[in-house]
Amino acid sequence: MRLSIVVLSLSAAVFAQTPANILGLGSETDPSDGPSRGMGEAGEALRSDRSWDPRLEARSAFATQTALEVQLDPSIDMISDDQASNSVGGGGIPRVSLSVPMGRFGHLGLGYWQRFDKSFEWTDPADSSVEAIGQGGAFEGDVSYGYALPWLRGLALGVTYHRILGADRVTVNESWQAADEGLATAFSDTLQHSYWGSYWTGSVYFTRGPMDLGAWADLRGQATVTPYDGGTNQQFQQPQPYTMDLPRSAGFAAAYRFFQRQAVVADLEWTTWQATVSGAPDRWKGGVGWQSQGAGDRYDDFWKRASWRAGAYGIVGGDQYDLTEAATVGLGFPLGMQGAVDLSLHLGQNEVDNGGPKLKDTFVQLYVVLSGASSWGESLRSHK
Amino acid sequence: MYGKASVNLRISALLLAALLAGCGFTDATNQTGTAFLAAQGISISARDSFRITVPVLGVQVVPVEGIPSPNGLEALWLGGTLNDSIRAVVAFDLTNTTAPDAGFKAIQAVDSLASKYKLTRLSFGVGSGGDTDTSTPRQVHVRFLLMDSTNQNTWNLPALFMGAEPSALGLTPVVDRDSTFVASVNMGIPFGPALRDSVAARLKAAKPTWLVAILDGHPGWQSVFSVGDPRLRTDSVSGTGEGTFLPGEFQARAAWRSTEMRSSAAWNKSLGWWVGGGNRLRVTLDGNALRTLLHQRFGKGIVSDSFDNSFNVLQARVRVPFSAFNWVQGASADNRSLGIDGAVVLDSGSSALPTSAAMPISIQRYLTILGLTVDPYLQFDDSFPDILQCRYYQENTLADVPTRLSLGMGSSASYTSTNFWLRKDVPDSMEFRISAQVRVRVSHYPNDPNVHLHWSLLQGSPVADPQIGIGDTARPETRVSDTALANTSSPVVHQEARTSFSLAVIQRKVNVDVDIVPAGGSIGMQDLWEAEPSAANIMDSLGLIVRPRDGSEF
Repeated sequence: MRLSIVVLSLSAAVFAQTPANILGLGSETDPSDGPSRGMGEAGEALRSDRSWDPRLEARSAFATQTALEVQLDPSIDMISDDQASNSVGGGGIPRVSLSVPMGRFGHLGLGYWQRFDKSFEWTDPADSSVEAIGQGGAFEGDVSYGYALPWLRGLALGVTYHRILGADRVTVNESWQAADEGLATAFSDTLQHSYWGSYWTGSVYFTRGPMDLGAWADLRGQATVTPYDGGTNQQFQQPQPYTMDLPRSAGFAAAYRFFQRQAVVADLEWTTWQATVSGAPDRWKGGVGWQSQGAGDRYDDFWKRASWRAGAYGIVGGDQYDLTEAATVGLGFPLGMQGAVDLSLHLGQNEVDNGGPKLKDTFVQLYVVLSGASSWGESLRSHK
Repeated sequence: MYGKASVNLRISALLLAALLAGCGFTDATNQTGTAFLAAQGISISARDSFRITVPVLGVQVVPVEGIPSPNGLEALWLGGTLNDSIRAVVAFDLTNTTAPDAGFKAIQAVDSLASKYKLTRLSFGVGSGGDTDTSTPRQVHVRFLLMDSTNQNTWNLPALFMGAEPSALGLTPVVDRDSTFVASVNMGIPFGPALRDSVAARLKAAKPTWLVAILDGHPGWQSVFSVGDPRLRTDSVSGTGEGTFLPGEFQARAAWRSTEMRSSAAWNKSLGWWVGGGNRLRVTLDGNALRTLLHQRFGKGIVSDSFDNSFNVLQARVRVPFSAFNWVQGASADNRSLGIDGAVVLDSGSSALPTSAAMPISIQRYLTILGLTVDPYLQFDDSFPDILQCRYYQENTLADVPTRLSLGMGSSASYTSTNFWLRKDVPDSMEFRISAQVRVRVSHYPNDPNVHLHWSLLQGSPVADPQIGIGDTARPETRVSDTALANTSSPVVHQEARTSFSLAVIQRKVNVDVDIVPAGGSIGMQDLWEAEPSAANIMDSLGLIVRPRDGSEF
């Protein structure tokens, strides 16, 4: 089983999305955890014994189980403009995380977050010998630490260190076939950016009774961007690295639990892109969601143990000039003794709203989130 | 309700279905978003095809790459082609006690037998084994020289091997006549009484002597053949190998060499291969003119301080017309071909070194400044009065340098030599590479007290475009001519050279040299040809297909 998951995870990291990914750093992926994917990606504040979010580390200070989470997101995008439409398959591994509660010593989180995705594929309708392919994107390696304040019941603080790294690459390929040559000559022009930088996020979380509240804010960070040009039969100057201010976000999330297993969640996140991409508008993302938590008794009927979720989210602005609306539904069910599978289906559309030619993609995205939990490292918390 | 196995199976099925969902509904290629990408400044420019005059800064005639082969390295050839005589020079060390003809010398040790078995003729067969007789009589101009085996006289051998005339060296032939002979191991070219008796007398007196045979083929032969197994023979001993005298050794190699004696009517600016030499044509492209033309046609591009990355040269077909063409009749048309390769010349320079200075002289400092990781130097010495001898040292170690035959055979490890010669009595030059990146050309001219050195630092090894014909048929070079062509006297070659012209467009600060290289140079040596270009710039026109680069717009 474990081997099959690894194989399937690797095979998922392929395919293209939309030409809109050419803008800015590419499309931005939300780092929500598995259950939150089904709740309009708004469940950051919903208290959990295993979940981790790189933005709201403070919530994980109350986690009691060590958890490994792997997310896959196969998708279908139907791209359309005024002249044509195409369907493209996509997919990736948006997040892998390890959440480790350390009892009275706090909580440690480790995570990989494929934050940006530059994937796209496009062929010139007027000349099918030329195609443009976008690949990769900057991702993050995150380390976080959370601590529940023992003298203020229900209050925790967290901090996350984000290491920006990775690279994106856009390649224009041409296959030139001379009439009297047996083999085509391949021409390839490539522009690649590699990223290396960091920023910090501070978070605060408060939970009491049915109410959970969380907030986070990024500190100013920078990344060194190194552009590499490449081309068949071309020679270039040495790469000239430059420094880029990273986008800064701040957000607020809330959750309210009722009727024992019901919960509603909401979040709002603001990101400023002005210092990163000149002229890019601020990005706002907001979502709402609902969850019906499955029964915790392992001897209950399987479907009674399943969790049902629904939600919606919207995005405006950002370096991709997004105008996104999406509805989500989710189903979580147990896997083995303490594992879980969370499936979330996102149906939505994304438009570029920069005043130029229309480009819209309607997407159906399935998040498959596998998580395994253990009591390793667990100890009773005196302040719980 | 659940078991471990059933859950695993269920999860695997779900994962597989989810992943396949991303693949099953995908169109072959996405062509949506063209207007959107164009609005972001990203569009694929149309390619354009056009023909222009090749912009050129200069043209040079340079020798084929590699040092001249010294004696004994290549096979011995005789013949005539391209209005030239192909000369074979063979030297016999008559008193060398360690020579392979010890049997004959033992006979000579007995006076009576020596008078009985006099050496009377020079014989040889044809073909690689040298034991094939022919019935076709050939007229050849024959000269035999007898030289006392003193240092001063022996020093004349390199000049004779390189084609110097005996009279220029102060030597008088004992025999100097035309001879009609049949290449045969039992017949050959008779000495005549004077030479026969002189040889016998020197052998009898055990006088250290070199006997040098100089054979000049008739220019009108239009053929060349291998002089196999040359030897001096007696009249009375039949069979092969017994009672015969084999060539001596000079500098530990067989004492023979062939060279093509260029006629006074030889073309000054030509492309071709001949025995012991050959010409390339080096064209320095005018990159500025080429870029200006392309920018006028396509508009502003992507230009940095050192490079212009505005264009992809998809095709660059040069037209190389020739006004005259000669080749050895019957040779394979496959070898009458040329290749075109380009090299970025990062730096170059020249200098003249006085040969009157105390020998040896070295030119180390001109090479080490190039930033090579090896420490090279050339050393010239005056061991021989009539030629200039040169050696190449690397890290203070005498190095093997590939000869032109080595490159013709496609092996830089075979057919090498640690010394090479330039004639002083005629203009002579050679060019070779150091560490693949430095071209060194050494030239010497009659009555010039200097040896001239010209070096070029290349960005990398010269590169050529592979010529692949339809149906994947390998076409590494373009044929200059073919017997199937109606007009072989003035062929026109069209050759792909996209890499060379791409380099010329891209490089803003340095020049690009394009070498037009004759194919050939194999040890079989049946591929002798020469072509005279009709265009002043060698390449008279260039057919380009160019697309502006759009990749850097992303």
